[in-house]
Amino acid sequence: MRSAEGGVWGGSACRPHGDLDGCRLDGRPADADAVAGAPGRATGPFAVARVDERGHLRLVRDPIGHRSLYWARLPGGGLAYSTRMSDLLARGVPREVDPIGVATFLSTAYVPGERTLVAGVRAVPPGVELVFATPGADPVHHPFWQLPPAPAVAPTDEALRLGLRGLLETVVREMLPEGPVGASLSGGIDSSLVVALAHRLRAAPVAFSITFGPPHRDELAWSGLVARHCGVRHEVITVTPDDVRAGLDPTVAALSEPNGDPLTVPNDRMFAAARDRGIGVLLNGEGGDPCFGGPKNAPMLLSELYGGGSLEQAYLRAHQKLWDELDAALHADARAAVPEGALEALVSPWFADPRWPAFLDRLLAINVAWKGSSHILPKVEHLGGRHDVAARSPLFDRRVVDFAFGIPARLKRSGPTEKHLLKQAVRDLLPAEIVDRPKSGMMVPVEAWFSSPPLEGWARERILDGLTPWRLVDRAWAERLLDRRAGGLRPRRGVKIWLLLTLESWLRTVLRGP
Amino acid sequence: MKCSHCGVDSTKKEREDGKCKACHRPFAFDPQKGDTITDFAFAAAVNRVSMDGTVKFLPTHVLARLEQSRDRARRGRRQTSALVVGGIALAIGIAALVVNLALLAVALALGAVSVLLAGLAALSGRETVDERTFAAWWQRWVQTHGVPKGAVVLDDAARNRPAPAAALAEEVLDYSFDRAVVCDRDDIAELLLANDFHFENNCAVLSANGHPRHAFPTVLKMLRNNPRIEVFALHDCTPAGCALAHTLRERPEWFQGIGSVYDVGLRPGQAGPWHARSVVRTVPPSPALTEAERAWLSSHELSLDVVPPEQLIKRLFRSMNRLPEVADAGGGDAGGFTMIGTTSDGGGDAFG
Repeated sequence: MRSAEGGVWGGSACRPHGDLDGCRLDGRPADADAVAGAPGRATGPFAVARVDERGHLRLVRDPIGHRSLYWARLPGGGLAYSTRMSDLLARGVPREVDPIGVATFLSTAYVPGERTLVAGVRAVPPGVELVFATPGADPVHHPFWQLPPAPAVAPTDEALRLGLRGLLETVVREMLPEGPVGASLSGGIDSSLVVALAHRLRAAPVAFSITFGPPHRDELAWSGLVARHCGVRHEVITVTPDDVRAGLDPTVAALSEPNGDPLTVPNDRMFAAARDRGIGVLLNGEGGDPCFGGPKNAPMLLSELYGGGSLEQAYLRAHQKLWDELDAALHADARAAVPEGALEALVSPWFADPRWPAFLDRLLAINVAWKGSSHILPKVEHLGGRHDVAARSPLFDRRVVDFAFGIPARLKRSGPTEKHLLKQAVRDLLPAEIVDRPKSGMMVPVEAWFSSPPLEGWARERILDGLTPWRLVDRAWAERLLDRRAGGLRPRRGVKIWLLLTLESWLRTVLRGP
Repeated sequence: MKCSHCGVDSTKKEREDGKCKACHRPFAFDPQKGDTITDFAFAAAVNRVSMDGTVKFLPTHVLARLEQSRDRARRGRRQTSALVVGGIALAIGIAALVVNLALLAVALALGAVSVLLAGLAALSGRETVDERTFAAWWQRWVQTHGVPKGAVVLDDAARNRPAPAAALAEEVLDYSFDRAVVCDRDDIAELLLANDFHFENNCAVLSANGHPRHAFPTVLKMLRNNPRIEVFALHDCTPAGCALAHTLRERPEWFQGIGSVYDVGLRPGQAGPWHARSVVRTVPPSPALTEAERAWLSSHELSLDVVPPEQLIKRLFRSMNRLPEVADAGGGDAGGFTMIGTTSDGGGDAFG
């Protein structure tokens, strides 16, 4: 397991240190020292701490959030920081839950921004250097990178297409290791283009795909088509209910914060499979939707068109977790600690940001900032780290994100076609059926899993006996959910149960962990 | 009479002030004063159609629910009477065999009465509530207890929402959606929107009459931008409703030559489980109707309101996610209200 990088700062000097992966500065490999001196020019994932010539502690995190970095003040004095929450807690940070963090997690399945689930612990924002004059001082935020504004004049469509293609090739080439490489392959356009590019640029990557076994639907027909087209080895990993029961705790324990995406255990199995085959780098297609205009943006477009509600609430609702029943789901104690409008206030600034005149671009911006840096990237970072496999996300590379925000909105979503320019840029690499297929997404069979043994009873026990005593979730509400008495048009019982199980596991294995 | 809020029973004397003796909330109705409905029954109907407040509904759903409840209750009473009389007849018949054969005639007579009662229960017409009567009930309920939570009322505010900002309206013309539901009624479209059907299913919702007015022109333009648009026609079982899919498919201002149109509404062939309303009218021949459908529609019609809103939405969802391409054979649209099972899963976020 990749070890955490952290420390306790009492005011004395320390050399730059941190967690970096393949960082470059001006095209040359860079270490923590170099990156700390010029974070705005560095590419690649990094989280670095150093004390500068004035004796100030500086914590800096890469622009998109490929690496995590947390800090908190210690009760006896000093400031602790670490790339992993469990390490921070082990250094003496009080183990108290933040109810607003819990409310946010239940609404979105992650905790965006600087707040975390642990009271007093804050995340360093991506693209920001935090400067502490003393261990007791409030940090000064020095942003060294921001999502770029919409261009006043964009290049021609053809120039954009060629530019994107060239950039993707550059980024993927830089991410390929000397040794064997793997790639997660769902059969969607994003992961498929990464596999195709990797294959075209170097020796064939091993493509890993997930299935859940019959009778559950999967995407193997599509991923198999891509693997055959590219001529790469295709490994299929089957994830069963027994894998979930055995794998949830170690998976969650590896994460700094709980991640309510049911794909966490399957992803963990994938990293384990890569490690078992001697693969040290696993590429993925994460980032295609938030950067290039994926279909998950459609509900927000509809909401804005039809009106009749607040944009902030629509965005929270669009996560399809517990937002609409948060009042009922939270325990009275937790509810009382969450001010009215607290979650909406986190969303508002993004939809009012004048950098992006197009509504779609504002939506993509919050998705990159929230879902990218607080949800997807920490997940692959930590799960890969658990197995000593470097997770690399070309579509979330800083240069690709910069480029994506220079693309006019009409080339992201053109008519009914999402990710239009991305598809045009890689059309020659993949079969037309893959480029033009409707988006379906990886459907984890949580509804079926939690409707029958062995997971139904297991989930019940964990939630009622393990989670409700924390007085964060209302027991009566949880019982109604588990007993299928929750009602509503789309109860999403399985998704909600997964969310609660993840929270329970995290509280036990991380917050109360060693 | 039971209070719809606290459930406590009040006698006539105890509610002389028109309020519950326990919680002191007013009653909207009082059978002792001539009303043929109670607060409890009205509230029960609202709770049922709203699934205890989890589903938005139309007032007409409450009307349909009240009619179905009364109908069921009346049939139940007649069936119970038939059973009681039949039981007595059987007892007398057995006694006749033992005591006095003359009693057999009495038993047979009672048996005939029992059969008659059972027949009446089976053949009796549907219990209906006059629309004007229901409108008065609804008004009284609202004045006494407020608008029921989740009621979708297509009032002026709903019809006159502000148009999207000009910048957005221009931006979205570059985009489109894969699917759309077009309803023959404005209130059904509003029901779907109120229940976030568009949001949950990534599809536009419009009515054939141009609802919602503020978004209709923009949304229709967006839909017509998609050569592969899938349009689902949701309608009452009326001549106009059954012609909707055909209209959408054939009219140039709709989707002539664009995408595919599927009929997911109520057609005469699906009306079986429900009591259709009797009408008398002339239905001219139409390529949208078979002869059998024309004949049925000449004397019947059926509103979508007979389907509780939760069922309506779930059926619509299932139909939209499983329906195969349906070619128009020229003799009326096939398809209609399908009951296709689904095992859709919640799934996780799939990024990339």
